[in-house]
Amino acid sequence: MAVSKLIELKDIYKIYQMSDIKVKALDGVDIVISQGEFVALIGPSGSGKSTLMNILGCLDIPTRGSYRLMDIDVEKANEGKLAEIRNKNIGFVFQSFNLLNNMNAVDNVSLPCKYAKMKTKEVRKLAITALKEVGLEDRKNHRPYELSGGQQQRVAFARALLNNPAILLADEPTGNLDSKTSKEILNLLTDLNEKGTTIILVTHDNRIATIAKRKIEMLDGKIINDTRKEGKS
Amino acid sequence: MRFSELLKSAFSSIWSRKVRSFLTSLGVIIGVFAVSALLSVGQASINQMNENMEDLNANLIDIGLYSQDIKMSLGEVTKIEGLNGVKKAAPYISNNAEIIKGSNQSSPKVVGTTQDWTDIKDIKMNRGRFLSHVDVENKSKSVVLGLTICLEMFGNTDVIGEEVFIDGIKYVVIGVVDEMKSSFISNANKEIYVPITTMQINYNIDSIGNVSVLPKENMVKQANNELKSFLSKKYPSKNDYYVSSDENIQEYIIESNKIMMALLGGIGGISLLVSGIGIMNIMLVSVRERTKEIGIRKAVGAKRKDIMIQFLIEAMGLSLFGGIMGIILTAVTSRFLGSALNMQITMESWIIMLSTIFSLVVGIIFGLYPAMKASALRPVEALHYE
Repeated sequence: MAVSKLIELKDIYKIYQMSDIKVKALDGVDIVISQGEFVALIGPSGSGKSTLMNILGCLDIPTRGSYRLMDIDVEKANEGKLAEIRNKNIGFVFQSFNLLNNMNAVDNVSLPCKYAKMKTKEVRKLAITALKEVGLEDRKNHRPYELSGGQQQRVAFARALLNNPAILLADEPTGNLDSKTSKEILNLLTDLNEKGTTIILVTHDNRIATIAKRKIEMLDGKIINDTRKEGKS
Repeated sequence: MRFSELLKSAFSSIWSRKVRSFLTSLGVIIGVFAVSALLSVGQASINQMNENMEDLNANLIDIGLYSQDIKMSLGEVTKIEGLNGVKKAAPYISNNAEIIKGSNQSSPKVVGTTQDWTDIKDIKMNRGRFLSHVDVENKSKSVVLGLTICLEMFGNTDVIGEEVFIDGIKYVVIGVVDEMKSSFISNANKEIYVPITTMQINYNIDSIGNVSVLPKENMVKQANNELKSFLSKKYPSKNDYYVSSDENIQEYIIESNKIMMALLGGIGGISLLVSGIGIMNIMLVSVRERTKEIGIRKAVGAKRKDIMIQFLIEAMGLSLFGGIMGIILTAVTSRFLGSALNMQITMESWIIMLSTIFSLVVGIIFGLYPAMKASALRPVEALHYE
């Protein structure tokens, strides 16, 4: 495997203080993820996979341990730097879509570029192209509540991919969708990965995890299994 | 985020909660209306005062004797006229009198004075002539009528040589004064003038009550001081006399008007303050309601500063909207208010500026805390807030 290391987690701990007991949400996690991988992060609720995702997504910082994303030492970054990393290097897709209801599809998609201070006109052009890629160009002026769940999730994908992030983090992206739409979304993930996007898919559902090339299983804040599909890298 | 984008996003979130936004701004509307309306009325009354004073000889200094025990003679007036800062001085005695012509009668103010009165009060004649130094020397029973009195008594001004009785003594009319501007204190058109010497005899007065002094140009202060030192040499007790200029009165009135304005403005200011608290309250609710939105924005790359400015602009938008509406409301109502109070009320630019700035400041001050609270939310927690 001559692919460069994209993510390197070393001995990551996340400890919450709940009144007088300490809860180890992450208990010494080491992961290396390379460019172009499609990783499924699975485990039951409480296994620490969401905490790990928050740390991978730079939404939260570990209590201890080191996190290297490309050439950035994330654990040393301050709040502003973390915001910049999220903006430039990470795309998020959530279970509940997380679109802003008082904006139409284009404006929702544009949001990351607007925070990157790009010119309004350019951003709009980019956003419309992104919507075209997910097949929603004709819905560009619709508000989220005027779209179906699947369409909303596609808008969320367009938003996540707008800044050409290094990683796409998908947190139970099909959790609120019916099986047909779920399949479409999963196909979209596979397509994106084939085009070169590194994807980390967080789910509790083993069947969904099977689309990924690599499966990391978690339990009680620890990685208990890390398997790759054969024949693929 | 670019500022234009921040503006757009703040505006759209204000617009998406129209009723709430309007109700929040209502406090500011009322506050700004209170401040700007009260200031406009105050300013209008000061303007009116200034206009009145311009017409009068505002530079005149009045000397008066309080005490019956001290006397002043015409000779003293000549000495006063000799002071460096003094251009002219005219002695006068005034009294309420009854004037009778046939079956007509009236109660004017009778002023006993000299020929110099014309220069001091800038008197123009309608008919005949004013009192002369001959009238004063001869203690003649001549009278000059104010226009209003003349018209009251005769119905026209063609009255030279007519005889009238003033407090039972017969006088001959030698002139009628043209219309004069009336001040807020007295109406000169209702005065009649007789030689001061005649008045002293008829009313058995052996002194001069007052002297009206016209200072030389730009020498009001000097004249004032000279008069004070002149009088203090002559009359040791300061309680026996006064030296006052209309300018002092004007200053006093404008000063008290300004205090009034500050008071009224302050009351308006308190209502603005209360409206600011309303804005803060609503913004805090808004931050809580939109915790998830803040989380999403942070997840896609919003920095603390971006969130802070967004919420600050929203608060300022609410207060600025209120401010502008308040100013419009004042502009609309000032016309009615003006006709009700019988004065010309126009909203001056400084009042508009002040109101706008004040409402913006209210927005900033009371929007700051909610905005800081919003910007300090941690992305993970905000994102998973339900």
